[in-house]
Amino acid sequence: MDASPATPPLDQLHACPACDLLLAAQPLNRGQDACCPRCGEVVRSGRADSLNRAFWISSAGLALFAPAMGLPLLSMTLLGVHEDASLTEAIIALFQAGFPEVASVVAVSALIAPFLNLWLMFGVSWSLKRRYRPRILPSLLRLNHRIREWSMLEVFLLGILVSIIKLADMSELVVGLGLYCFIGLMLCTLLLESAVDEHDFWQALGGEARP
Amino acid sequence: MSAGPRTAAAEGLGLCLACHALTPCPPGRRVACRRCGAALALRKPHSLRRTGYYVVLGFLFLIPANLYPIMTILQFGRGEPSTIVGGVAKLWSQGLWGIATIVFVASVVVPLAKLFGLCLLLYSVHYQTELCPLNRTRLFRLVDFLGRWSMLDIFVVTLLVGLVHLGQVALVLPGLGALAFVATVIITLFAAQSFDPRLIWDAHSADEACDDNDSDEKPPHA
Ligand SMILES: [Zn+2]
Ligand SMILES: [Zn+2]
Repeated sequence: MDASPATPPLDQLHACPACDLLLAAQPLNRGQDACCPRCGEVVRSGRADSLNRAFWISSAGLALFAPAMGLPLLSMTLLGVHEDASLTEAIIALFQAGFPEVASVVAVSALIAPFLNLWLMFGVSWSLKRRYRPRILPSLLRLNHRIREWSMLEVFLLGILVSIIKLADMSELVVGLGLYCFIGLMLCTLLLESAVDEHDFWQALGGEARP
Repeated sequence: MSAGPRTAAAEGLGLCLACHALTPCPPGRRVACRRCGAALALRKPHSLRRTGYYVVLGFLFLIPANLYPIMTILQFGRGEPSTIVGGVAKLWSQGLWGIATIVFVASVVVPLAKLFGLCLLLYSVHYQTELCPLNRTRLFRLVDFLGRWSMLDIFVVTLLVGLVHLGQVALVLPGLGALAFVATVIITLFAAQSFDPRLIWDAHSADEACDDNDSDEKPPHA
């Protein structure tokens, strides 16, 4: 079942996910990216200490999660009537307004996917740091890979900004504490993508020899 | 240089899209990744057909998404339902050009560009056109990156509905258009996911590239 004799061992090969070009694995320094010479896709990125970074960033994200979801993002006063809304309340309101499908999609992209992403990164990095490798870890990493693209906190933040501008001429608006926590949470999820290289996780899992 | 770079598929190796390990894989079959166990194939199975279905569905849902109102803003019991384009027009008339442009791009330009972009990619792969593969890969990256931003209007509706329920004074109600629009966004996300960008390069020999390939000479470590 092995490839032709001219081909080096599989662990020393990569393929570009965008054009399928075979590439030899080369050691990367921190901050370096390996790009595909044919299509320019970033094939690997060298990141120092991915496990520790993922652990601390996801811890910070989890600490911010409850306040970001539960505290009011915005509050408005109109003719003496005061009203505020957290992200969770907004999703529930959409549910009660008769749009459970829309509410579910919003819940997945702004609440459930980020939540699972943080917990999976936290759990996997914690157990790998302790060199504890239960058999479920590869499935958890795979789940994280699938779930990540459904997490859309940065789009939601732009949505908050648009809402602020839309409401500004209608009422008095005050930014709530929840919004600051939300921005922190969003930065954590973005950092988890850019400051952490998933390959380090797979390597730590032991399926591949270090180049 | 006759022996150019080779592709993994030509060597009978399938790339795992979850963990990026290579596993020997016969053409047209699915095997389990030797590292993470995920199912993999040399190319995503039925990529063109599945993407095509999703694109058609996406176009179909785009029609009700734009015809039906996405929400109704009532102030003192008065107010009219507004569609996506109507909301943009209102922002524009209020002089909020910047935000009107952002909403217009996210809700109208991005879904359309995404669907037409995928159409172009499907057409070019199916008919093996001479279009530069590098530019088509760039187009796919753009389509893939932009898709999520169309959720913008849905998030705005969610926030307004959650925040503005002051009874007689002010009330925001979601509209049917929001449902159709969510469907469009989800369908276009699935469409981009089911397209396999490696098909763009399959018709080209591995060392061939188009004339304006500026990143061709870039070393692997950039
Ligand atoms: Zn490539
Ligand atoms: Zn795998």
